[in-house]
Amino acid sequence: MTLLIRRLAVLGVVAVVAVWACTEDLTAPGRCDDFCPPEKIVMHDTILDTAITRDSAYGRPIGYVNLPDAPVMLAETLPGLRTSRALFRFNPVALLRRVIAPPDTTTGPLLQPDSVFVALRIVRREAKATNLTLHVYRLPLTIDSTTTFSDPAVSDSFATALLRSVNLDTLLAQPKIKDSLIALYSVHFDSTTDYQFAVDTTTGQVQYRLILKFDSLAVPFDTTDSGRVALGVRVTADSFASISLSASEQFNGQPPSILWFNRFDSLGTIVSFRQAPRSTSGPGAFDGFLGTPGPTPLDSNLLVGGLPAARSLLRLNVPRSILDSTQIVRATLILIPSDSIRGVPSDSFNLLVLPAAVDFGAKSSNLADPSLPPDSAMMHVGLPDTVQIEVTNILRRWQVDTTLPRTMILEQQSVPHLSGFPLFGFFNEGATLAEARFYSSRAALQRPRLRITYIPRITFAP
Amino acid sequence: MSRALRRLALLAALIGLGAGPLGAQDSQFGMSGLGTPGRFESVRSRATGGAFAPFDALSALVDATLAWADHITITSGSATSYRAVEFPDGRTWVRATRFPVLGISGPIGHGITVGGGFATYLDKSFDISTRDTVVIRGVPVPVTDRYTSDGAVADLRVAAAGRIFQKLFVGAGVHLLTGSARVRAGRDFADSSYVDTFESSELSYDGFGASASLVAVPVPSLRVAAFLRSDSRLRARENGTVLARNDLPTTVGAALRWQPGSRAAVAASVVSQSWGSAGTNAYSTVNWSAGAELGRGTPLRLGVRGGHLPFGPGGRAPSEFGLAGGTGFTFSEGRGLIDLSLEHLSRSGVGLRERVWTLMVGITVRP
Repeated sequence: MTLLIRRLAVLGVVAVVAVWACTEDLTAPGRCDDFCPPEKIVMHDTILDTAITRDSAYGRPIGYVNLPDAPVMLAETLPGLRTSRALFRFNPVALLRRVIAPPDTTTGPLLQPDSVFVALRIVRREAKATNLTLHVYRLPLTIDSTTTFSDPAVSDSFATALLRSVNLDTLLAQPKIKDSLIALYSVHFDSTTDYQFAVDTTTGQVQYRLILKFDSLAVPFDTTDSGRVALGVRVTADSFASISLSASEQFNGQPPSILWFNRFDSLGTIVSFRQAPRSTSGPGAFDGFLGTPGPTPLDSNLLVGGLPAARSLLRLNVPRSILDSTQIVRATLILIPSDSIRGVPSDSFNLLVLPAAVDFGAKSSNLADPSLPPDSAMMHVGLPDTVQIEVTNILRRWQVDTTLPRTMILEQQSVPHLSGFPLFGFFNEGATLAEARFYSSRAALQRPRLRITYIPRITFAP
Repeated sequence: MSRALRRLALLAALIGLGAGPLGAQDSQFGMSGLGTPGRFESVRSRATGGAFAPFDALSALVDATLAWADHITITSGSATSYRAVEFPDGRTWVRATRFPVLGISGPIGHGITVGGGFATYLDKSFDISTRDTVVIRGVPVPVTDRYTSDGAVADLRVAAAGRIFQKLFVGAGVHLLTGSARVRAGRDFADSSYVDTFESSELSYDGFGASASLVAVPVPSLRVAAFLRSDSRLRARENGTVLARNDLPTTVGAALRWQPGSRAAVAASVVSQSWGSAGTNAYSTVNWSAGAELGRGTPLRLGVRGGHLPFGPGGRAPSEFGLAGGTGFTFSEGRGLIDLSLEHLSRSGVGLRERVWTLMVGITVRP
């Protein structure tokens, strides 16, 4: 028995030691240079002055997004800078007649409406603007994508056919009929005009939905045109008069809509009939905006943004000794603005730098890789300082995938102002008239540069 | 196989399954050279400071001792070390486990015994972390560098021994040195503008050696051993490209064992190795040891050792002094053995001191 206990004790001790010994704590402090391995991590930092070559701007006069296709309608009155007005045409109403007394199938015409409601979604409103006022005009039905700002029919309408003027600040001061504490949005209601102004924060960004009430004198029910109506919007303010209205091209947007409350003679009894709402999308409808002055043409500089939306391509010639044989720990694209960014503060936008999947010049497409988020820099209105954008991810991707063209695409992103989901590859270009211009490689002293910090390949000591 | 032997085999399997990768280098001094040389000593010999290794058939130091292996013998050992690394302004503990020796031997007839196995020739595992602040783009940026190496050069030995005269045993062996190390160097930045990075590679090593030895037994209580080993060079390759060739040492040693009675034995040895030609920060060394084994069945083993380490910075070889003790247990009429050993080493070099406690367990089976 004693022998057995002794043997078991010995086996137990050995087993405990064996299991205990299998945990390790290896990390020891290093006292370089004496007690570290001979290989050293050395970093180099260099500015490649001539790495960017064959850079070009594309997008004028035909842009990547053009005015009729813009996701928003811009209404701006910025003296000395630009003026733009939104204009839209609703599609025809669903019904012009209805059955007088079922089951008799005889129909009678719908009468002039008791009231008409027009809804507009404001996706961007300049916060600094005071006395921001929307002016709604009746426009001819002939407006379309070929209409110009100086078109007499349109300009005359904006001069004479004012239907309503709505001061948004006054409307916001009206009492709420729905509180955001119990609902997802607040509604300010003007009982004298029946105007509603909803403040919607459900998308994480403050947006507004304005509902205006008209009567049949202002917006008559014209059966000869199938009840179609064209309206225009102009804005004024003490300063910074600028808004963006959601257009039918906006992903997940809410274009203007109209709701007719017609009347109907039902065997001598006048009853109300609510039509299905109509919007500015679909056959017969149109929405867009017109501005002056027109887009600036391309020159020898790089251009990003605006409308028509412009992009610039940078082609890089990074030394192979760096791209092939080093660890790039930081790469920064340095751009020097050649002009200020004009607009109101909310026109600020993201400048994206995307790797090109293929380089077909103006038709190049960016690399669609969810694991490679685009590098960007915020471009504020005004004269920006030298713009530095981290492009480390792109260069490290080039190191991994040698088949990719060494081309970067500069693109505008206005997504912070919009409610659209930021789907990959959809950056809401063309949501602002603001554009950024940078010196190109043609300007010897101000050309784009690339600053790279890298660690050369380590030679491990044997 | 008896129940005790089955228990031993099970225990050996348990230790083997729980084995992690080779861990931290035995000594931080080795980082400035080729690595930390292993000891070709069994656990029972380590308990005597290595003094009995030249007379121990379970150790891989002297081939001639294989002649005493009259049965097939399999031995293995594990060592867990706790090492205090002491700089002038700081101290830290590291812990590691390794399996430094595995051997098998047995007679093949005609008075010849062959044996083989592996032992750690150079340990190349380490994990070093340093913090610093570097100025990048005109801004100081804190960085953490980490250097790791995981691997070793193993000595694969095939040896034979026999008695050529009544009082003289001779042995010879060939040694294939082979191994690899996965190395990695990385830098982490405190500033997220910089991408943490690392680079890794795998280095492979090869070399060759030969050894010869003899043990004389002039009187039954006295044994004298002399041994010689010459290793050619260590060739390091990365992706097939030769990075370096380093000369390896010639080892010359002698030892004496005296057994005044059936319950006591003492031994002493001295070993000289010409590591000085192995590159920078390398020094030739002379190491000595003395030890005793008292009692039978469950003997008490004691030992002391001293000398120098072959690699270290600062222009002089780090010194080493150690004390060891241990015991062993026999099972199944000597067919199974468990040896336990505890060793304490003190090392001192330029700018660094190390104190190492090593607990070793050895298992030997003679089926």
